[in-house]
Amino acid sequence: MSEFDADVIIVGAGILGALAAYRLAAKGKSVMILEAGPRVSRWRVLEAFRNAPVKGFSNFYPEIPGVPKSSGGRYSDQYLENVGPMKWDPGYLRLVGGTTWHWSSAFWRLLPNDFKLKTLYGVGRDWPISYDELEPWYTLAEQITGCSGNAADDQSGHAGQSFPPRSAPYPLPPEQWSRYTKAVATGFDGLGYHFIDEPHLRATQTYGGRPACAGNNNCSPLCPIGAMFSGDMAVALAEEVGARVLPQTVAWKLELGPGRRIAGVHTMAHDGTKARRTARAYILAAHAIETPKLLLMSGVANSSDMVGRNLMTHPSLIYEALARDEMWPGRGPVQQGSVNDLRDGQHRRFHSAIRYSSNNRVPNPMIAERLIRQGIIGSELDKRIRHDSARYINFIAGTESLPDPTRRITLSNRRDGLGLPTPRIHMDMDDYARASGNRIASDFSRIDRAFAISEALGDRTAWRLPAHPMGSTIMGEDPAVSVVDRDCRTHDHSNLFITSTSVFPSAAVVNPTLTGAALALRTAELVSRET
Amino acid sequence: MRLHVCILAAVAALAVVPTDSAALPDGALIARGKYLATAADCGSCHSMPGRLPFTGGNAFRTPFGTIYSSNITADRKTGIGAWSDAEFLRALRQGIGKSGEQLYPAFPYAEFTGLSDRDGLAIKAYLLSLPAAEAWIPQNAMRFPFGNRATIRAWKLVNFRDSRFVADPSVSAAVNRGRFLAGTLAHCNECHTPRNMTMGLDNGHALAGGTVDGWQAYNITPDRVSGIGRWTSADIVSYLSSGDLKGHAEAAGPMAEVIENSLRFLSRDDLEAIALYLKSVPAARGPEGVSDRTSFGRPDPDRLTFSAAVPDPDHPVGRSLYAFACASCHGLDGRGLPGRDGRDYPPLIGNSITGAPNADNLVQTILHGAYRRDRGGIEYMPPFDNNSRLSNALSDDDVAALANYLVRQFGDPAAATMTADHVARLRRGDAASTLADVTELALGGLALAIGAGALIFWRRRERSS
Repeated sequence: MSEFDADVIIVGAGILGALAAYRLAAKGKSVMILEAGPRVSRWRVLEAFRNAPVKGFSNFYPEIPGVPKSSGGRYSDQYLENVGPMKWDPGYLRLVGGTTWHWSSAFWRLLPNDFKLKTLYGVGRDWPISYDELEPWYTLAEQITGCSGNAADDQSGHAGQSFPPRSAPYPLPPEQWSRYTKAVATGFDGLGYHFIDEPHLRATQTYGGRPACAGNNNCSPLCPIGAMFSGDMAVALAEEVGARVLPQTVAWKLELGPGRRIAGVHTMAHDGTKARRTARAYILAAHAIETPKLLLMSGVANSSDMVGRNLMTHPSLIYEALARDEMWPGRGPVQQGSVNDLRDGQHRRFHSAIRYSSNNRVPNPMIAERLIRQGIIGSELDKRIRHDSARYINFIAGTESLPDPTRRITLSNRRDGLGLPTPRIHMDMDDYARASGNRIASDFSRIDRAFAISEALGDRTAWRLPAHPMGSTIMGEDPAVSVVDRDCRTHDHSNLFITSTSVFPSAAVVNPTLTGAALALRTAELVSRET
Repeated sequence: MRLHVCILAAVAALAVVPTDSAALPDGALIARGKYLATAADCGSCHSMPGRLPFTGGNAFRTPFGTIYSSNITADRKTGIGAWSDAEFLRALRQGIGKSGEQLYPAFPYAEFTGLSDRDGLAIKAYLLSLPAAEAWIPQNAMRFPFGNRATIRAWKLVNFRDSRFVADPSVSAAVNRGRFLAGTLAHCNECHTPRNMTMGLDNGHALAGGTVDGWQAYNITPDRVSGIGRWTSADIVSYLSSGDLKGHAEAAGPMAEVIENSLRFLSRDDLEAIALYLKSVPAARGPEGVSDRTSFGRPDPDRLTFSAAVPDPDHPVGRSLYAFACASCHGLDGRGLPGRDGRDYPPLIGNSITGAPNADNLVQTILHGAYRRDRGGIEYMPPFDNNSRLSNALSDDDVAALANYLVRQFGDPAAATMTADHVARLRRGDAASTLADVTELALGGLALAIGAGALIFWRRRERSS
């Protein structure tokens, strides 16, 4: 009998942890995934969503006193302590499958220049690895999950040849654009921008057991038919090749052993029952808040004092308006297409990159609420709901944060249902992102004219912080200012790795999951050779 | 009359049977053999994923044990490369192997026996034209006493007649062609005809329905209640050519394979001939069922209250399961949804599986989903079995409750008798047979009796000596 419970223990059964487990188990390693939350059936989640009086983002996912989410329930709403200038809900779940139960599955590669912000533009940090080193893993991640996209696009936004370089085409063809998306694309193209396809994980034809998208327009918070890849599917892949998942198992302490290696992980069941599990190597994949929280609770991997620091996201401004003509949003998938023209270039010396991503949601509830507040009722309300909803345009102007050690997660004095400290978040946005505001405002005005807007909605100057947490266990060559090295191995402990968006040294302006997946597969490969 | 028969035969021969294989150049012979082999669907049994085509290795779990299909590529060691023409025809038409051994009738030589020399050798020519692949197959794992191939002789006495196809002069050339295609080549009766006590075909109830791998192969006689009498010829052709009769039937399970690998490649004329033939066989009324399988179903009257806030107090789980596990594709009203490229999500109202007299195929479809490749792409419904990758796995209780809701709402409510135990049995794929059990018991008893007799005899001899 082995002296260890497994070759590798992974903390967190989300998409990144499961992909790492899949790679390791496929190579014959015994893998144990510790997941704080429960398993769920898709139909039960849909039932809870349909029955929820308020259709929130997270509120219909399981609400457990000992395993709070970042928000969405009477325990979860008390979980995070926000002490900074900007209140932030990083929008994560804790259950088998993780946060990608509710996402829009945008699956972008970083650009080669995103890895070299410091060298090229004099801001932020460089990655210790290059795009070329990560490229094969990008391709593998796209193939395992079944990514749909247009390989001919210049995703750097300069309307050139296919870019960034790819060793294989996308495994699935791009989606057809809905009428709304085509109208938005035309509008942006008329301004001299180039509206391109957004790669994503909705099946455009049957792939890997997923049916093709049927246009439920519910991607976030839940795909009712499983056409959109979510973390539970990565878990299923890992289990098919022998990985074991232990749900309802909260990892709360990493135990240090001889040679500054991790000797075990201590866990608690939801009723508080304790256990200790051991492996040759440990991978943390508990997303960018819970991962540093575990390290801080354990007092490990932090000789740099960078654990929890450098929290980044994509501060965004939201454009909402009613066009003169009917746009018909809300049919088809919730996100299709993006304007990447400002994604890279010399402007990044002075202000952050900007990306405009089209949002295709059903606006009726918000429109109805707005009209009712204006005192409109009866058949006039009916008419106006139809009229306004059909003309609603919405897109997001996303920017990039730079790593700043004062933006961080630490441990608060609050305790969750298991008696563990909850996260204390100090979050803000920097001037680098704010400085993009002028350009964004000017573009917003041009869009107003392009669509002959009758009415602007919402507050287009209010910065929001979306659910893309990054940076809190930052990657770097210098152990004095970083937590993990180029292979995502912690500098301090040779058998402790982190596969999470928490390792990113730069945020760029695209959703982080694909890069996280590529890193997870690459690190898993390395770990498989060492265990 | 004789001239009439000759003309009929000649027309039939032109359509299906080549006049003289010696006169056909090799290319034409192989092409003909390919078409015949496709109609006979060699691939469904002799090919499988993970192995090169036609190298066999497919496991068939029968009540008599597990039989593996053989390698029929041109490999001389492991395939049929060293077989003579006579040996090949003998296997095809009499169920006897190269070394004279009896072949298990899982290989449908009871139907292929109808093939002419020319057609049989055309098939051989086609198989030998494919890449030879050396590939061994696993040993059969037979239940006692069926490991002894002498038992096949007994089976053949009752269930096999070595006879070539002969056109019936009293029906049209097209119906004869249909009978040849369906009866001899595509061997529809192997699945669609019920079995007798000796597991042979009960030809008195031809095409009146059978089971295969836990799936029902439905009654395809023209009976208007138990069969497909209400289907037009065009309906039958549509289904056979694509697996899809819009609004009513989608092939799943073993039939989906048959369509995908075989029937969709037949010519329109040949499919029409099969349809005509099916319309000509005696209508067989089954013991169950009050109405055609596609004649049931209505939208749930309370579909606006599908949320669990107002559950149906009598049947809470099944109805909720439908609303949240099925209706996003099949519609809250059971009318299905339009899909891309004309590939609609099928309605359950008027559906030939929900409307069947027993719900086995419905349970199988829920558990295994459906996967069928056709010209345009792939028809796909995900599985809800324990191997679901989409967090869709349903328990035996849930599947039974869901099946009963579906049958009550979209089928004949009298058929809503599914139990969790039966779901479990279907999931396990138990292949039951009274004959196999009885034979085993009987022979076991016989062995005991012989053993006891021998013991008594021995002791008597000892005492007397």
